[in-house]
Amino acid sequence: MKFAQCCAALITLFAPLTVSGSFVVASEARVELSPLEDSNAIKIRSRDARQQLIVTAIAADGTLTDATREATWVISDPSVLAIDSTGMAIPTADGDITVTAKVGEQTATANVSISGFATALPISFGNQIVPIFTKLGCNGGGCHGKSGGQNGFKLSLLGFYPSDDFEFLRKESRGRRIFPAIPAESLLLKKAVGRSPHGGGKRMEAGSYEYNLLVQWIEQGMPYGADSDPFVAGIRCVPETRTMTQKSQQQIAVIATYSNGTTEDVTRMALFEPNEAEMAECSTTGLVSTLDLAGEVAIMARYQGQVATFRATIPLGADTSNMPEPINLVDTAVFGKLKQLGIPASEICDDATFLRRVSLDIAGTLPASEEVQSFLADTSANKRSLLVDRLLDSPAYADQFANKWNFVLRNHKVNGEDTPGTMLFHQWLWNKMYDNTPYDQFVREIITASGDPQINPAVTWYRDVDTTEEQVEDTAQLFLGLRIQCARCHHHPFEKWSQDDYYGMAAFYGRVGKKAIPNASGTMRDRRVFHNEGIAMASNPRSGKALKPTGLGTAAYDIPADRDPRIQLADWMSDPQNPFFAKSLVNRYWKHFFSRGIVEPEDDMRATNPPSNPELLEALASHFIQSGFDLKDLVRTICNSRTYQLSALPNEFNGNDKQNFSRYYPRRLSAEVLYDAFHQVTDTGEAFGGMPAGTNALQLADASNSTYFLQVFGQPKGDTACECERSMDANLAQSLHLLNGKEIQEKIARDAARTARLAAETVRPNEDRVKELYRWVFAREPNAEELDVAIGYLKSHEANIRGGYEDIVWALVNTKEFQFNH
Amino acid sequence: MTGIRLFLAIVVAATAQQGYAQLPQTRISSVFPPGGQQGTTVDLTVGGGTDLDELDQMVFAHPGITAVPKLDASGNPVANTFAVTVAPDVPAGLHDVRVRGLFGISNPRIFRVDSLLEAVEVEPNNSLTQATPVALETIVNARANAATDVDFYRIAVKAGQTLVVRSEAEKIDSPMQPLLQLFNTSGRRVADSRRVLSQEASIVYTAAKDEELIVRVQDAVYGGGDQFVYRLSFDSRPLVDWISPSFVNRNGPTGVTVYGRNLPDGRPTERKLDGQTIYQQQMNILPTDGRNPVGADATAAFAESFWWNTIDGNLVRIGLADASPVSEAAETPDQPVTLPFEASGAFAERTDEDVYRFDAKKGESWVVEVFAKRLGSIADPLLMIDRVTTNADGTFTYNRLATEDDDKQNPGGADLPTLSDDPSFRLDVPEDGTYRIRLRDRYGDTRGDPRLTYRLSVRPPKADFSLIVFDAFPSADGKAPVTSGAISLRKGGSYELTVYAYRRDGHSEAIQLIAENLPAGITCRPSVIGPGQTSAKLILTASNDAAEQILPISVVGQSGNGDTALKRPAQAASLVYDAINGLPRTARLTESLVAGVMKDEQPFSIVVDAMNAEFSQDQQLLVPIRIEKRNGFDGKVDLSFYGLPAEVDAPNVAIEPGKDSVVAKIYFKEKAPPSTNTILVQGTSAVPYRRNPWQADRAKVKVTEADAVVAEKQTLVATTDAKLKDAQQIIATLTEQLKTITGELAAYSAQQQKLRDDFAKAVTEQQTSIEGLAKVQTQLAAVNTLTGSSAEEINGAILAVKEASAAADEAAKKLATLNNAAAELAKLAAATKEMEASKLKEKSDAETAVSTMTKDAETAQAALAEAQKAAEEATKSKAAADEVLKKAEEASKPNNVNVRVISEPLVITIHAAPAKLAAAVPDGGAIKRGASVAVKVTVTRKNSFAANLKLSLVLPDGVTGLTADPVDVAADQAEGTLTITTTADAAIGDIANVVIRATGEFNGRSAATEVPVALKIIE
Repeated sequence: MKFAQCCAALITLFAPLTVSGSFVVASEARVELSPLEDSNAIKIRSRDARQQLIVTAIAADGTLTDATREATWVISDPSVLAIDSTGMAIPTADGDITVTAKVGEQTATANVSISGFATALPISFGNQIVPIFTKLGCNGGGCHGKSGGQNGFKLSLLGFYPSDDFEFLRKESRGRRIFPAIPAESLLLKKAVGRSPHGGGKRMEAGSYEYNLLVQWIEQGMPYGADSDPFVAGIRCVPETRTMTQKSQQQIAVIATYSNGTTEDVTRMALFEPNEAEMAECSTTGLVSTLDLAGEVAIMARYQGQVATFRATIPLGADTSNMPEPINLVDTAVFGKLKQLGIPASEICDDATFLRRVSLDIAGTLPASEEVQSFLADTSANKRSLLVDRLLDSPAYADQFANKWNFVLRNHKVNGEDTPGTMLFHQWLWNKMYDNTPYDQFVREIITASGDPQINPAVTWYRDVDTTEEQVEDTAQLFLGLRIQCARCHHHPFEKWSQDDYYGMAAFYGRVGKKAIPNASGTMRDRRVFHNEGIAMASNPRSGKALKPTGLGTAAYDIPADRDPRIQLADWMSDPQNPFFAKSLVNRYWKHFFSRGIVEPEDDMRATNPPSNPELLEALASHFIQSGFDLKDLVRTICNSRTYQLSALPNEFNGNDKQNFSRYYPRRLSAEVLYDAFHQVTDTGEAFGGMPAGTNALQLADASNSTYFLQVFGQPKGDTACECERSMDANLAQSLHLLNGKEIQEKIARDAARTARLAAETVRPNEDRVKELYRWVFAREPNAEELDVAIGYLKSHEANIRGGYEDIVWALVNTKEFQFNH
Repeated sequence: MTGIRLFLAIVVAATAQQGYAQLPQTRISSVFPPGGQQGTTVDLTVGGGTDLDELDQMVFAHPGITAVPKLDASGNPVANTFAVTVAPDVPAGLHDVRVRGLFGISNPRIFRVDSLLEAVEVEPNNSLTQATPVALETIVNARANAATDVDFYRIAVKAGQTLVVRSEAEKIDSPMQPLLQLFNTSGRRVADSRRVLSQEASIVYTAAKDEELIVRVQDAVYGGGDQFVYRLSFDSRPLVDWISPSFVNRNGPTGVTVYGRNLPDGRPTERKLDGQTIYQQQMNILPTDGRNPVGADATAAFAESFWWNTIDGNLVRIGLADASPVSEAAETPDQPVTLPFEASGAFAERTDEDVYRFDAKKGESWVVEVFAKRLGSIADPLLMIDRVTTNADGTFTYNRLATEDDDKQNPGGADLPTLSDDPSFRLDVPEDGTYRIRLRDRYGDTRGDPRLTYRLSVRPPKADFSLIVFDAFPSADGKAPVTSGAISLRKGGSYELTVYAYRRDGHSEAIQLIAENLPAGITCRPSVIGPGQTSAKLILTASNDAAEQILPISVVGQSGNGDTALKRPAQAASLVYDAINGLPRTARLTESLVAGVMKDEQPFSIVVDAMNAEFSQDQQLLVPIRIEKRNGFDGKVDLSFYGLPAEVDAPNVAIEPGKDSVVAKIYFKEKAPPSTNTILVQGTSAVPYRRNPWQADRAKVKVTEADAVVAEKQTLVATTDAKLKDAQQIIATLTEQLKTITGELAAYSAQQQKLRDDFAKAVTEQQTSIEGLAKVQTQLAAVNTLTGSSAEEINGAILAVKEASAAADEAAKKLATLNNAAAELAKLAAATKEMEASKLKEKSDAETAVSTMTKDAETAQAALAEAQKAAEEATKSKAAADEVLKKAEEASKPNNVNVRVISEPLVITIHAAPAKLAAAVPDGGAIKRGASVAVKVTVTRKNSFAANLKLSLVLPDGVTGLTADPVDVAADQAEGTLTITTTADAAIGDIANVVIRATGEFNGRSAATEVPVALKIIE
């Protein structure tokens, strides 16, 4: 499942990219040529090498623009080198020459040294042939790279295992794929150029660079290269960052550094992918084109298991002088970024909006009508922060966040006998939230959970998170914000994590023992978890290498046989220096309040998926660490910020902003919150099986006694560690249920419902009663027009005033204003 | 579902239920309230159970607690309820209570006695506003009534006051896991606690101001039901958290430190628990300071302990050992000790490891045993033993000799949960040198708690054993796990009890089991837990006329004989609940084992003769089995053996209706393991069982009585009716008379009227006459005054006078006549009046008579109505009685129940055989009448046997007509020939179960081995 997801993600990488837009050359003060190695030189080291050149125009104000495609080139010896219109330099002979780029009146010159052309070195299979398969998509997860191969031909996924590929190509199927006598007749080439039927279609042109390289390789007798051949140790993008305008272009080059220290341009062999497809596109040749939106975008380049990013900042350039004054670190970072991007923030929202918003976000409930009145009437300056404190102190805060953690900790019953464990674990989570246990302690108690689940309910985490793999992956995803699943079977395609990293983590969980609860039924899934004495090790299934427990990016730990390695894991995770732990949590919580993570998705943090506001992430994380991992303090910090209190209504500039938090992004209420809100408004409830009267949806121990309403609005089941299991999508069934659902109708029309009660009142005028309804539904008073409509409607239904109230409530709960937090 | 399919489904369901039904037996799941205060009387109700018919007795193990059936206002017993009186001197603690009903004595449940005032929760108390107000120093008895029940309580505290809230559930047989949450006035939760296995929930709270607190109680996993009882005390008594050491020397006082909260005599320590300072207090504890560990988990049977409750409100289990614990050397990583020793410790901190270092000599053996769960601790000790060698540079090398985690013994298996986490190891010292014992908690890297206590015992091996007898109700098929129950015998019936042995230090001898103190009418054959085995059955049997009584019995086990004999009493245990809500199947120790006989009879019983026999491999045992039938039962009984060792051939047999015996065969095959076995015969049959026929009998009597009442009332109606009719007749006659009288009176009246009219007429005429007379006289007077007048005038006047005088005379005459007539009339009227008066009198008399009679009639009418009502009521009662009878008859209608009956045990020891026989029977065993055949028997000696053997032919009982003289096979021979001769009148046909037996002296006993031979007599 996880593997499939991971690979599905890969497939999307090969979606065709298109470049659009135009380029306007600014009046440049000077131009620069890159990428240069030391001493201003460009070195091309083999016949097969190519070099992407980039010309940058530097305006008088320091503004940098890409002028590569506008440049004219002067080559001191054209027999040695050719440069095409995209700035790609191709060697034709050995030699030391100079190359001059001219843009307008400005020029820049660089020395170019070409070697290795005359004496062709044997082709390295791993460094030269395998990247072709990757670039052309042959070894992708949707094609020959999947575990069973495609139509009998298998390649290692993304070429992570060249030696396997070498075997597959040369030896499998009695060697029919390659015809050394006439290389061009090799099945490998005939299929790829479309001369033989090929399910994957035509992948390259005969005579292309890749084609020629493959022919050469076969001609050379299909060398593999030596084990001592240098391998790619890292790649980088040139340039790494750039401020761009909307609808502009920037060529980037990708430079690989080998284990022997040499570098090579691999731009044409690298794969590119923007993290925000709405903001920018990137061609196969590394030409980045920005689109209409302003903001931050990153282009990920991948080559041979290495990744690097190019980050572009695209300012909107609007006037930001009227921004609210920052009042805390959140505002400083967010408003700072908005100023940089020239995106003015929306206004601060009004009290009613804030009351409803923060009540729903912190406590998952609507404010009661009387609370609305008293809050609006309150004139104290700090009433908003007092409200935040009050909400944080309420049991509803624990309901809300226990519910959140409960699902991603995969607490759910499968059999009837799971119920006690499920309930106790949920209660445990609730207690941790209510008592505000420091987050590091909370996580420690989960991942090191030991003993009988009756005594220590956190052990229940291990019931569904049953295998070492799940433990590693859930730990990484939940508490480190890393999706490390891919590295179980192969090197992570977008990250530096290898199988060694994965199994180094796995070693922490290698000594988790489980034993039966004495005298309990044999089928019981609940078990007692203990540390099974022994030296913790895990073996990389591919290399067979035994790995000691190793944190991601740390040295291996030596843990005595009689000590539980999970303690060390918890120590490493909760260490203030840990680069993932605090960031992952603040990002997860940020998303809870802003609908979008600073890194999105919130549990897929990686170099190639950078934060939209790194300063914000950094500041929140360090504040969180300094507070002693105080979750309530974090919520307080977020909710007291002006950023959080911005209106959801866009101004004329920030309507398109989806990642810089220049306004509050409205979102549909989650299934449970919406259900409870509906019950609050109608003053009804749902009798959940096995739970006491008055239990609301947010307080359920799991989804096993869910209702149609909750399911249709996307309540998760607790099957995965991903918050994405909760569906926040809108669909027709939801609308139909709210509009026509029997349940909705029945509850609105109950004898004990608020509608019937309001209708039965005799003293208060309808106007007051309608106002009360509005306070319940929207946490505000109705405006004059709304009031008129409602009163008019009631007047026309004097004969059946209860029906009139029912209709009004029905209409109100069907508004977006009710269904959304805004 | 169509009607037919629905019907079929019901039939199938009903049949299936019948298949699994068992003979009824009284069993209870709870009593409520589950406790009471010393010196008070409380109404106790059986909360639930099965077969609770006609409960008439509630029995407490402690004589100071007595019960009588609870009566309602009209003196009738209230169903399942008893008024229980707890004498003031009954010790606070746990006491067994059982009930007895028609279907015998029940399993026990705990009745907790404590010192504080008791109350009962008032439902509904499911929300803050419904919270039950509670005063300090009160214990509330309550229950999670249903799966979603939540209970709220309200208590006021004063500033500075310490409130201790604690619940008891585990101790009182409840599967409830109370979750206590304490809220302050502003709704903030200030403390919470949950029962964790044997650790009950408790909260200690010191109020900073006067305030009202709310306590919310729920089952932590929302379980509920009659068994989910709990006791919640609100008091200011001390709370003992743990005691160090956790055991005391059985030979005298042991100084201990009591650690707890709210200890008024304690000194504060650095340590806190749930935010509250722990205090410590030194005390001495005597082994006699406590009570038996009734209520403790069944594993407590394997470790001596007692309940200590010197500090009121606290029940702490304290272990017992032969020696005092070595005192812990503070801050010593390796505590030096000398063997043997006892130590007490706790895994108080995270990564806590306790190390004991000692010297031992090669060849010594030491048993290292750790006690935790068996003493009620929730520690999971891990035991490691290292040999310590000192290197040249002064450092040490450790070689691991043992790593032990959990107890490997689980004699109770799946039935009686006796698994514990307590490791042990027998250290056979390999070399002279230094050794060390390391103890840690299995989860010690993540937890540390001074309540994780243990006892470490290192001693020379001393083979011994503990016994536990499981007071339980066998399942219908004898295979599924037993359920809670007690020894309730039917008349003529049997009851199977399993006794488990926990063997120590290599004890493996046979353990003879004996049931003692059996009441008259109950017998129990001794049984044996074979060498190396861990359990055996004891079968109690009631005679047909056993009295219906309940008495405590005991079971003891003995291994060895003479001076070295070990005699150990078995501790009784009872099932508390099967796995429920995350809690494992749980059993506990009971105060006593009780046997009772009920009124019901067992439909049949299986009789096998007592046997304590020894056999060899390759030997046949023929078991005559008889059944005794009762109550008209005559079904087929399927028989099989129970408790057979491996490698036997024992075909199932059956006793058909009309028969009462059969011979069953057990053939111990060549590879049958040498062992001692308690073998039982198990018989099953579908019995048309009548449940509580006495109820129907009693109902019948009631119906007859009702019939009589109806008849009586109906007679009364008849007589009353007759009386009424008579009265009515008289009234009619009188009324008729009255009518006549009235007629006559009317006639008189008319007559009188006429007389009065005549008289009036006469009077009027008199008047007229008088007036005429007066007129004449006036005229006369006028004439007299005419002097001086003309003659004419005078003549006229004289004429007028004449005429007037004549008229006056006429008038005077007439008047006289009239006067006479009037006088006549007056006379007549007087006479008539008299007559009338007499008639009136007559009428009045008649009327009085009518009135009297009417009253009589009215009385008669009322009596009749009453009689009719009584008759109606009687009819109703009769209908009710009929209904009761119908129900009783329905209930006692014969219903097929799969009855499983077990015989008394046969104790069979199997030995290794001295030889293997092979018999060559010519002609496939066919022998003509009167002929003989020679059977060559080959003897293959084995098991180092080398002596003589004697061959003989062994015939089953009752078989005649063939003989064979025994033949000797000398030590150096491997063959013998047995000549079988038949008589001329031998019965034609197959002869079953014939064997040729070889006997010889083997290992000091007369051993035999056999080979079956198939023989057939032919013409």
